Amino acid sequence: MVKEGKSDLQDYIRGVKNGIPVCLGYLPIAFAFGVAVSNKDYPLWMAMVMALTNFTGTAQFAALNMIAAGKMFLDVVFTVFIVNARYILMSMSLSQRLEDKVGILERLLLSFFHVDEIFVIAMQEKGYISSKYFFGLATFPYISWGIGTLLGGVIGGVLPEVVGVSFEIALYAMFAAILIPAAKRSKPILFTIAISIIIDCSLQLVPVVKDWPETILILIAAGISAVVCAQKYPVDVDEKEEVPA
Amino acid sequence: MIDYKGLSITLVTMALTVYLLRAVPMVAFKNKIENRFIKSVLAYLPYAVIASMTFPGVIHCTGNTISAIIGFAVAIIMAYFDRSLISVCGASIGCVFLVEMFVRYFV
Repeated sequence: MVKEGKSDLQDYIRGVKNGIPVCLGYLPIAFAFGVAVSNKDYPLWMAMVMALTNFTGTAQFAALNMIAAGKMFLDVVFTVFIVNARYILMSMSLSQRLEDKVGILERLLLSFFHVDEIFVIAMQEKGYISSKYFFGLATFPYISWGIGTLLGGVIGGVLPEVVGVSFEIALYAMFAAILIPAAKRSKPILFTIAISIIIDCSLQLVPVVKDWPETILILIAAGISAVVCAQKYPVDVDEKEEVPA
Repeated sequence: MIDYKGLSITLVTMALTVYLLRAVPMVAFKNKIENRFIKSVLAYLPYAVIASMTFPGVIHCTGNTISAIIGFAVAIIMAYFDRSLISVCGASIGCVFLVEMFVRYFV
C-alpha cells in the first residue's frame, strides 16, 4: 500500500523527525549504562558491544549486574529472556501493522531495532506502517544509544550524581506523553490503561507473586487488560485496527 | 581478573536471545490475522504494556518518591495539554533536578 504523495524517502525523513524525542531520551539512559559498566571496572568495549548488539536498556542493566555477580551463560540468557519477554507480544503487534509488502529480510533487519519507545511511536501511525518509516524512527535513537554509552563510559565519573538521577524520569515522562493524549482521545484506551495499572499494583501486593520478576507482572497485567478491553470494545476490522474513540 | 572468553560467549548468547525474541514473532506472524478478537487484543496491548511499565515503577525511579511523583505529575499535566514529547521530558527532568537539589541542600 503506497500512501498518496508519499515517497519512501519522505517516509524515512518523517520517521527520523518523529524519532528525535526518543533519541534525546535515550542519551541519558545509555549514558547511565556506560557509567554503570565503568563503575564495575569492566572495559569500555564491553559496554559498547552490549549496547550496540542488544539495544535494550532493561536487559543490559540486568545482565550487567549478573555478570558482575559472577554469573554467566545460561543464567544471563534466562534473565534476559524473562526481562525482555514483552518483545514477543510487541513484535506480534507490530508485525500485524506492517505493510504487506514488507518482506522477511526486511522484517529480520527491522526486528533488531525494535525497542519499546520506537514501537510505541510506530504504533501511533494511522493505517499500516512502512519499513522506511520504521527505519527512520530507529536511526538516531540507535546512534544516540551508542554515543551515550561511549560518553558514559569515558566521562561518566565526573558528572554530579544528581544529574544522572534527574534523567531517570525521562523514560517515564516519555510514557506519559504517549499515554495521556491517547487516553484523552479514546475511552477504551483509558480503560485499558486503568485496568493494566490496577492489576499490576494489585499483583505487587500478593505474597509470593510480588517477588516474581517485574516484567512478568507487567506481562500478566498488560495481557489481562488487553483481553478484557478487546472483549468490551472490539476494534473495527475495516479501520486497520484503529481503536474506537 | 576478568574471564574474557566466558564474557565474550555470554555477550554473544545474550545478544542472540534478545534478537530472537524480537525477530521470531515478527516473521511468524507476517500474515495478517483476520480474527477480530485477536486484532483487538493486539491493538490495545501497546497501551496496556506501557501503562503497567509506567506505574508503579515510576515512583522508585529516582530513588526518592517525592521527586519522582512531582516530576511525573508535571509530565502528566503537560501531556494532558498536548505539549510535545521533548517539552514534556525536558520539564519533567528539570523538576526532578530542582526537587533533588532542594532535598540535598535545604532539607
